[in-house]
Amino acid sequence: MVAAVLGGLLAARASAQPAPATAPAAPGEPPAAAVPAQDPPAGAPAPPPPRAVLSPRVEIHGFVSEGAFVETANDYFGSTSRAGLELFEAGINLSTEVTDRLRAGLQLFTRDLGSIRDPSPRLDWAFLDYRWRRWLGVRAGIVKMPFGLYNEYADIDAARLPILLPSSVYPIRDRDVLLSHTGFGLYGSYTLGRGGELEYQAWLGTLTIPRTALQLTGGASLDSVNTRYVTGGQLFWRPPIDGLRLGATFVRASIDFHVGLDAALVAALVAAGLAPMGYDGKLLIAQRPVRFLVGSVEYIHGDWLFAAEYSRWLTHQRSSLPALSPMFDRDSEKLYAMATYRVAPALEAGGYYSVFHLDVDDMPVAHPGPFDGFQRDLAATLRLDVNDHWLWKLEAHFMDGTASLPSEFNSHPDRYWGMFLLRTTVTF
Amino acid sequence: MRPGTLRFVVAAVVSWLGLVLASAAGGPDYKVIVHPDNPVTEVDRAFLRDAYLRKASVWDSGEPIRPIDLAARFPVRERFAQDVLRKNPSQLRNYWNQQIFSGKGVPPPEADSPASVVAYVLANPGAIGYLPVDTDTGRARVVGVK
Repeated sequence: MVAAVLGGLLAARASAQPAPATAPAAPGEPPAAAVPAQDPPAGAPAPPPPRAVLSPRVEIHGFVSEGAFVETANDYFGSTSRAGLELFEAGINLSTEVTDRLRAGLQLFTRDLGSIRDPSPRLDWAFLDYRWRRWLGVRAGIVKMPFGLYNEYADIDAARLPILLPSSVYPIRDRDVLLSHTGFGLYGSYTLGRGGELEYQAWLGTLTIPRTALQLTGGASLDSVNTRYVTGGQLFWRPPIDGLRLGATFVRASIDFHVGLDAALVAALVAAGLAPMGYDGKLLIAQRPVRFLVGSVEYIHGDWLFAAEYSRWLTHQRSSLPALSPMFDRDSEKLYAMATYRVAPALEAGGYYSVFHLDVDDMPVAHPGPFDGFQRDLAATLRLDVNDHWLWKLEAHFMDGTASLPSEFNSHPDRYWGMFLLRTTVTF
Repeated sequence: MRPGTLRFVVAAVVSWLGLVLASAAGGPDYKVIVHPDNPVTEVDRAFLRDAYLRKASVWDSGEPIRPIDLAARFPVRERFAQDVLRKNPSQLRNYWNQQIFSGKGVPPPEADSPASVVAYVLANPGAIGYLPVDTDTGRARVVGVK
């Protein structure tokens, strides 16, 4: 049913792409006598005469991305192998302008990144967007969550240079949790005259947290997750300097993980005196609250782009069974600096240096290994745009530390390791 | 500061000023047109940028803004993007990929000739378009860019 509808729409809008349809000539409007006298490139064929095509009402866009990776040590994606082709992402979205101020749309997304995979396509975002004034609009539904410079675009390979965004501020394993929320968002922009422009967003909703979000040992399973709320705000200031923007984001969330323990594990805990007699095997892990703060700066000048962000993630975790699940207050520090340069019209190069400290207070229980508490990532990327719809990327990472590695796949990780990625993406 | 370094800094500043003055002396090598019923006689670059990046949606009159782009094979498109949108082609492509795949918006419709731009503007009261300076604009009205 859905495929048939999509097929029909695709047939109707076969040319749907970032640059949509040809301009319409009004019914009854005589074709203008304008002709490009000199502007088309020399040797180019003469442009076709104007033709009548209606403005697009339904837009369909999508992307398919596939790649490969090689690691010198450790297992970043949880693929049980140091090399693989599990670097797949695909999405398709539909959107329409219901009225001049009201938009509606949705995107289906799926991916397979080692142990991070969607068994079936899921809704990435689906919302109504009513822009009442330039300074105030509202979105409702499953809405992308503004977070730093790039979180709203974390799933869009074609919209950035790196294959992997700096993992300190944009951890790939948290992407599904942080990408969007279900609720409401307000947004707008306000001109300050000579003072530049402000752009702002605020939101309230709940998070959709997949069962893979919590790393559990054998004998434990995640029964349910209750995100009581997520709220936040983002403010960007564009001073009267072309290409410069400075901003800050604040996010606060409250999350309860309800975990079930099997009978063998309960019996072992009771026998060891870690759980009381008659313990029912129910475990509550409450992160109330989790708070993120991000400071961001980006400067685009000509073919250069410079970006830097500094972030602190504060987690207050409590547990109904402290002997099994630790209680802690963690203050993680995350930062990176990035530069990119367009070497030629189709070739872009760049790199970043990213730093992640799991806990600035260096609490032993949070990172038992000697280099599990930090990760430094020096990355370099080349991007080649074959045309407007097809690109290739090549990327290298040199890592020191293992803080962002999934512990269940890395029982004895190496401190120094490298990763090389190749990826191609098609958009339409 | 060493004399060599000082000479380099002075040369860089003078070159930059020269570029700024040169670009200020010459007007834009495109012209902007609107529907003949549109009361606007002049637009500033900030308004044009917001209109073409789909950040502004209505004119002061309340009429929806309907920008129209030229196909990428026309060099005036890149010049317009650099001068008004302050983005090179890859930056503009990234911007629209961000907007499209986050559900925030889609680019303006694209005309395959300057004549199509004129036809679109004449057909839509809220339309705005840009053209090479030597293009016949028909009944569409040319507005100043400040």
